[in-house]
Amino acid sequence: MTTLESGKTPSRRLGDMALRLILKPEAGIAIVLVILAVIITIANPAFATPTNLLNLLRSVAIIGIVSVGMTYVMIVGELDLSVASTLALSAVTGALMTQYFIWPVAVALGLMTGVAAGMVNGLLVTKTGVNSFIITLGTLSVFRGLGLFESEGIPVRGLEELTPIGQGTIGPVPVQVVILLAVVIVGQFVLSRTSLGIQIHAVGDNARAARLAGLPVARLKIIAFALVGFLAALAGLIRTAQLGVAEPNAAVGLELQVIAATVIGGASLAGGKGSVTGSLLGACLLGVMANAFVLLRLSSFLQVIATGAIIILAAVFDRLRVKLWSA
Amino acid sequence: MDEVGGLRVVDVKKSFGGVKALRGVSIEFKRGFVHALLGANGAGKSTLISICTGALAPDHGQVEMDTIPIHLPNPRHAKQNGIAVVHQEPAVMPSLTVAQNLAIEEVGAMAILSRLSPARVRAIARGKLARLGIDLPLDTRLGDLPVSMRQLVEIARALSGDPRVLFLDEPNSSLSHEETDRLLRVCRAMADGGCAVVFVTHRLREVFSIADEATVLRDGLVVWTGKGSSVTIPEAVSMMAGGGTHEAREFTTKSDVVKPAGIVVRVEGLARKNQFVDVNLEVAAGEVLGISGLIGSGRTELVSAIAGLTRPSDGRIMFGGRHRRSWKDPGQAWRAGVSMVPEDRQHDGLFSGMSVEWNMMSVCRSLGIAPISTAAQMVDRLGIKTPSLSVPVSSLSGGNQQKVILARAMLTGPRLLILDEPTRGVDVSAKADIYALIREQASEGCAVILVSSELDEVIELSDRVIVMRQGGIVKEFGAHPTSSQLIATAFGEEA
Repeated sequence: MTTLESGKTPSRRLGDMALRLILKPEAGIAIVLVILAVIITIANPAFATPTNLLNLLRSVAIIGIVSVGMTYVMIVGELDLSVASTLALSAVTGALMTQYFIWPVAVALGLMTGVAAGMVNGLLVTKTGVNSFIITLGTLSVFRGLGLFESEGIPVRGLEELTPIGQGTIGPVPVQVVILLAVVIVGQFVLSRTSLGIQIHAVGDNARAARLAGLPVARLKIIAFALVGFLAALAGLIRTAQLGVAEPNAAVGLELQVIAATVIGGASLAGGKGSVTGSLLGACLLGVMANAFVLLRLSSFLQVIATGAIIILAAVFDRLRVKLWSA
Repeated sequence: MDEVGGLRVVDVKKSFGGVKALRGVSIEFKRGFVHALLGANGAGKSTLISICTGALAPDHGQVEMDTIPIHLPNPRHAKQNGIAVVHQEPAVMPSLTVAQNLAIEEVGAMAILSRLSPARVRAIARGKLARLGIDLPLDTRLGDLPVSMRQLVEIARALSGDPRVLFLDEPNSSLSHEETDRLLRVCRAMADGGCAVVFVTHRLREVFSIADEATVLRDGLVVWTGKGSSVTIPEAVSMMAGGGTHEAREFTTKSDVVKPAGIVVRVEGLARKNQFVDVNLEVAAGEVLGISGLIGSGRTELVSAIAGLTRPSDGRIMFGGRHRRSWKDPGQAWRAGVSMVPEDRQHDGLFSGMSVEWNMMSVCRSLGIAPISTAAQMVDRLGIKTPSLSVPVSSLSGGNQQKVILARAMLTGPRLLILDEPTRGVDVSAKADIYALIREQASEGCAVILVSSELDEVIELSDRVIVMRQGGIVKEFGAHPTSSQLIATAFGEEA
């Protein structure tokens, strides 16, 4: 009935491997990015200038940093809709704490707020067994409300010491871009080269098998949520440093862009799949699109449509890829 | 009694909602021996293994390891007690690499941020494979490999913990002969090293070639246990079948009612990739065709295609005077007069939160078929025990739920009724009702296809029985074959 020995010759295998490399989600987006860049440059040479590209990366930093964390959450098989609220809550909390503590302590408290928010999500999801979509839809509102409540809805000044992070550069490169790259490198390293990374993949791929193999499934999920909380807080502080003020209404709707970047980068809502570099490329693709609409003087309304279309295309492409693999 | 130690189950009983899966089983799996656990579908083998490996708790009785009673609340606990299991369905992670799958337990035991190069993962994996003497492409995603490789990965993982007791539940169902040979040799070596190896397989010759001891289960009881060499394969088969108990039959089916003129459905050369090949069969009005065979022989897949749930890749279906390559969708089959009662009523049949009435009428209403009677009449006719028509169907007992599904199928006024395990998980009295109903349908001129693992059921109800093995029909019997004939054919051991 079933043929057991696959009769593939080595050369055929090599061909398969090459095909698979091209079909990797990262490669796909990279190709799309390059093609898009060429087209935009032809239409408006201002695109390919270092200033524009660095500004583009600067604009990508916040979404990029949060999508690294989102990648972990999605690989482990969950979703976090509360990241934008966590971002604002952490920034506001950090800024408010400057009234009581010296700034490094305030920064630390801001980051810890993010971690705590993530852990709350993780604990609620793993202890109640309620779908993370619903839990984080709830905490999206709760965390946003907390930020508004503690700031009384008014933007908070403070953390002027962080201004170099938001506005400074290292050489020609904006500091926040350096932070983004550092987060991506560490994030990808942990994901592919540590025990944690393999365990997170395992849980998202087949939670039952992971449990049978003795993996601490709940703890791994909480870690992923705490990580995205931490990175959201980091992004919030960077945003504060950029603007000189922490807004309780900051980044509304950011979670959708972050999820979009992650999905474009190859992550699946079903879990087990995704890569940090893919998510970065996804964020860059969204950034290039936004940039192109400005440079080409196209309606920003069209941009909204195009962003949606890209998400759908990425997901459809992913389905095709899976089919090609199994064929 | 020689003190070799091992795993002993003492008077273990287990029921699932009134259905007794194990009715007081005591067996000793001695260290240093390969023990073949034999039985037909539903004899209780899998339940017994689940209890011994911590996946299920027994209702009664206990499990002892080296004469000390042990409590096994979960699979992890069993593992810590040195009890390993190779599941029939491998519990693996398809999008991880082979190496990561093999090393996952070690990875899980490491500190959470331990640096772990792919080389190190590969080294752990290689160590495990070395024991089996096999080679697998370590960096390939496991999901991209054939099922046999997944099974090998599962086996390699189970062997690696130096288990004291090793259960193998159909470990070689998708392995090649060469791989099976190797597996058997490893089992032998494990036993010689002091492990108790318990082997469940439907390939009798293989297991008899290495088994020191054997136990035959039937209907949740041990019917025979002893040295593997003291029983022949035909003897084992007849014990599994329980030969001789079904001679006296109360009912005889009316096979004289109709013949070719009344053919309702004819299937020609039907095939579906990796499921069944070149199936030819026909069923006449008023006839009950039984389909017997082991789980995985393609029975369910075949009837699913006939009922339009899946599309066959080849062949054609003749129904109602028309030839089709396949049904467009299940709805088309229902409307044409093909009713299907699926094997898994929870997943594929019931809308468990909806009412009894809603469930019964669901097909007729959604497809616009005029029901042959009201739901209330069906409740009376089938003797469904329910407080009212409006209670959720999930509040009924298993047997009554099954009757609801049957009622749904009958309300469409079918000309072909396909029943896949119609009495699974159903108590004795409901079973009798369902049998009566099947006969009644046939006597009213409905063609019936009955798929069942219960030999008595097939023998008692069918006018003809076909036996499937590995996706094909291997033999056809007339009315009332013996259970030994069916079992032997299903196992490929017919004389």
